[in-house]
Amino acid sequence: MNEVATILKGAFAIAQKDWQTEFRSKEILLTMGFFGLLIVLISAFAFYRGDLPAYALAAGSLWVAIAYSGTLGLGRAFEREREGDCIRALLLSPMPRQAIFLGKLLGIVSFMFVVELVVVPAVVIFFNQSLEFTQLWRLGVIMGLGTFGYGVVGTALAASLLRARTRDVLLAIVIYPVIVPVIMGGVKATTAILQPEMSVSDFELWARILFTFDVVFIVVSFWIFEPLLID
Amino acid sequence: MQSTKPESRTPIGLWLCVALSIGMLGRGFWMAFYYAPTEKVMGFVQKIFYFHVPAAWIMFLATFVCAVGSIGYLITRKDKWDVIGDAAVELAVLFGAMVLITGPLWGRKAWGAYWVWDVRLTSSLVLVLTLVACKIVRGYAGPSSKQIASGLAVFAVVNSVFVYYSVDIWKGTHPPKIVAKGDLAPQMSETLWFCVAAFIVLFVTLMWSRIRLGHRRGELDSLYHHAAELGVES
Amino acid sequence: MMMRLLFIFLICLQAKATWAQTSTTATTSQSPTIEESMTSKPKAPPGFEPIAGKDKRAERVNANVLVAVSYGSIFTLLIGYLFFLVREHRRISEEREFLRNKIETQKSSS
Repeated sequence: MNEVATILKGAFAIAQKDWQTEFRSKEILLTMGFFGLLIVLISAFAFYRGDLPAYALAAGSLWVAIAYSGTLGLGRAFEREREGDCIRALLLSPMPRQAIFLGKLLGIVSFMFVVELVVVPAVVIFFNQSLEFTQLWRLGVIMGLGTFGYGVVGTALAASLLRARTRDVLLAIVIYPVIVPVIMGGVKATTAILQPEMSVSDFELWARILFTFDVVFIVVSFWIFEPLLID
Repeated sequence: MQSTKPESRTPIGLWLCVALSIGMLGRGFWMAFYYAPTEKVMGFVQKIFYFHVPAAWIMFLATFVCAVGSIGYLITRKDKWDVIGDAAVELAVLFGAMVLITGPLWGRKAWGAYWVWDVRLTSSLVLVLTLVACKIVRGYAGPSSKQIASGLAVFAVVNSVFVYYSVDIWKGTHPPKIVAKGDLAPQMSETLWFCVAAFIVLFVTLMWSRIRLGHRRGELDSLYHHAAELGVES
Repeated sequence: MMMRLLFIFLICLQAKATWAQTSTTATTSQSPTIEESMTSKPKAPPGFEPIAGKDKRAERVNANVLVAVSYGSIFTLLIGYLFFLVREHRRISEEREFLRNKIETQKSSS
């Protein structure tokens, strides 16, 4: 129990550092948010015809925007740790490694949630969707589970690439194949929510799959984080 | 440290494995076309099955070996585990390529389209892409590439289960699992299992050779270090 | 001069293609929705009567060619990989030999 409290305290301290830095600079939020918006716009131009209902297209566009803007944010968040060799200071501190992982995860996931507050309305407007409350809270659940799953995998892999050459390119190459189930589940569940007759059974099925993914990968990432980070 | 061993020759066992692989593959090829009967519904194109299915199983075996090697390296940091992981990744990609080429060709006749997002091909595609990412990381990530590739391989293996069941629920038009249920005609079944055995021998042969290559590369690196210490220009 | 003529020719080709496209009378408002366009069978125009029998599209592809390409690609990949292994082994042997000779030379001269 003591160890769990230590990890949580350390994680919160690291997350707070990220939040404070971001509150002052707003660099990641602005770039991620604007990039996500642009992806939605490009998708609308590329695929959508204004006179057609396009809930499946809206779902796909939303998750593509999340995936791409998330990669941008991950890269930038860990670049900050490289500057001034902050990661070495973190590793030299008596904090457990899992606390570092959890802290960075909390930071990234919170930034992605803020960006989603911009991207989701953009998708709803550009693709001519409507959201009732029953749809909205379900969408929130799926976004939460999907974003968390993406964040878990992304944080572990981005941390491993901290000292790698060509890390900017490699980050996208290593993340996207692994998050295929998240994208699949997210798009399917979002489609089930947005379609004219909302399919609650589909939503529940994919929500369960996403939840299982999150649980399995947070365990794997907790274990793998330390060997990946240290030489 | 300079190696004092004489130039290592190919072990006789490896030559035997090479000969056995060639023999068994040839025999399997003959059995597929001359021993196994032609399937009633799909016709001649079903012959692809006898090499496509063993290639898929060996791809998964190679992935499993890769996971073992990667976990071993992450725990022990000994190069011998990384050599196993690296060799297995390469072979998983090789056999994965075979699956992804032969599958759509079979599907073109069986389903009327080269790609229909069915469960097994799609999950194989995602797995192969992740393993290709591992190889790219090894080549371009610099000094910590072994760690990153090992970590990614572990993610890939755990993820493969998720991808399989996700795609299964998402969409599935692959032929039903007739092999497991034992619905194949006896000659077809014999041919398939012989081809599986041939591919296993082939896998062992290629792994052995590739692991030898990995070790020799490590010895060469040590020799370069030794040469650098002596101030030799290389 | 030739480059200018080439540019003018390419521009004329492009203009012709664009004009031909805009002058078609096919309406685009009848495009199918996303879901409909994802299905494999296209909608038949009114008054169309399909011919009874097998799907002609499937018959056009020769099974022999597919089988030949499949097995050909498998053996090509295997042989290609074997060549790669042999070449790498040979390269390492040569480099080892080269380095050993250099080290021996260095040791005997020092």
